[in-house]
Amino acid sequence: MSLDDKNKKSSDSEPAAEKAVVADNRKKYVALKTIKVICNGEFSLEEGKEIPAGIDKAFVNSLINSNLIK
Amino acid sequence: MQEPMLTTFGIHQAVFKDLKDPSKWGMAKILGSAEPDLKQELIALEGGSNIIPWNAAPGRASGELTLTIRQYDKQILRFLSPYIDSAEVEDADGEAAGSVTTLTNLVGTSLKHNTTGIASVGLKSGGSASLAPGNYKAVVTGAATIDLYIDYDGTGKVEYQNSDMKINSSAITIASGAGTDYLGLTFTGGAGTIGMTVGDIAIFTVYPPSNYLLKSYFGKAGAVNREFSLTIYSECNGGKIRSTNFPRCVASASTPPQFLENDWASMEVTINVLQPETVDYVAETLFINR
Repeated sequence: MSLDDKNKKSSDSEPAAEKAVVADNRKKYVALKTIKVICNGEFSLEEGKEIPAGIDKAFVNSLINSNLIK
Repeated sequence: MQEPMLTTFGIHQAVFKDLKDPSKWGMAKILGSAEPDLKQELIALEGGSNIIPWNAAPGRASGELTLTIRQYDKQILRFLSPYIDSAEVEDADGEAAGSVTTLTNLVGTSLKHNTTGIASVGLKSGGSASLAPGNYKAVVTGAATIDLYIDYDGTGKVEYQNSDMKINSSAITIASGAGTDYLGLTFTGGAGTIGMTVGDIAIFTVYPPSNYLLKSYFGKAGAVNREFSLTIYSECNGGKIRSTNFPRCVASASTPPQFLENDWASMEVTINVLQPETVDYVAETLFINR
């Protein structure tokens, strides 16, 4: 079942979804597109470039899941 | 020498008194006009070739009064249109820090979600100066990103990015258990991995810091017209007082204000003057001093 499928069937009363992605502190992430993002502050991502320092780990997960970095 | 004439000039104020609840009085002072039209129709007896009626008898009186109000306070709203207590919700002191309503899903169920979506939207501590008031629409653009749209940009706190009324130029990212600050608001992610469904929509409303807040509803269920007495005072000059009292009236006005280009809103109130049960007249005009 894809993450999207899970979300479509989910509701507030359902248990927490499994953690699909966990950011790896040792890995370097690069941006998949050039875009500004608001995380724990505002950051500029540049396609193909390493993501700026300062983005919290929790937000890294979200950026991966949203296909903005890998 | 002839005595000074009885006359009136201008309009000073109109006073409304609730006939059922004497604790409720209201007034209007910024008035354009108060024009009673109580004249009685005359029914002519016509016949034959005579061009002039043979007789005339009284018909009905119109019993109408038109009031043009240019500024008012909430006390008179109860008189002007069908009213029930719940037709007004007032916060006399306003909200010092502003407020935000609960995020509510409108399309889908993934955006407002306690574990995999946005668990809550709240005021950012110390961020009230950045609040942009209006009705917001949040739309999911990625598993963990949203765009925001707002229906009002009159504060200068936001800038529309397009004609769809999107306001964020950067993707707003929602993270597990973390807060994302934007425009004086904090969007707190649910405890699980954020995974919202693209296209899902949720709404909320932001109120700015204020010192007064009134919601006035027109057409509220159960609302009825109130009966009141109406007294109109003219401008006075040299101690002269001119007033007309209508002991029993009901009114009909469109209380939502008009919004006019480069003009103040005024409200035209149609008042029906009714025959009172307590006195044997429908209007009494008082002339104090010549």
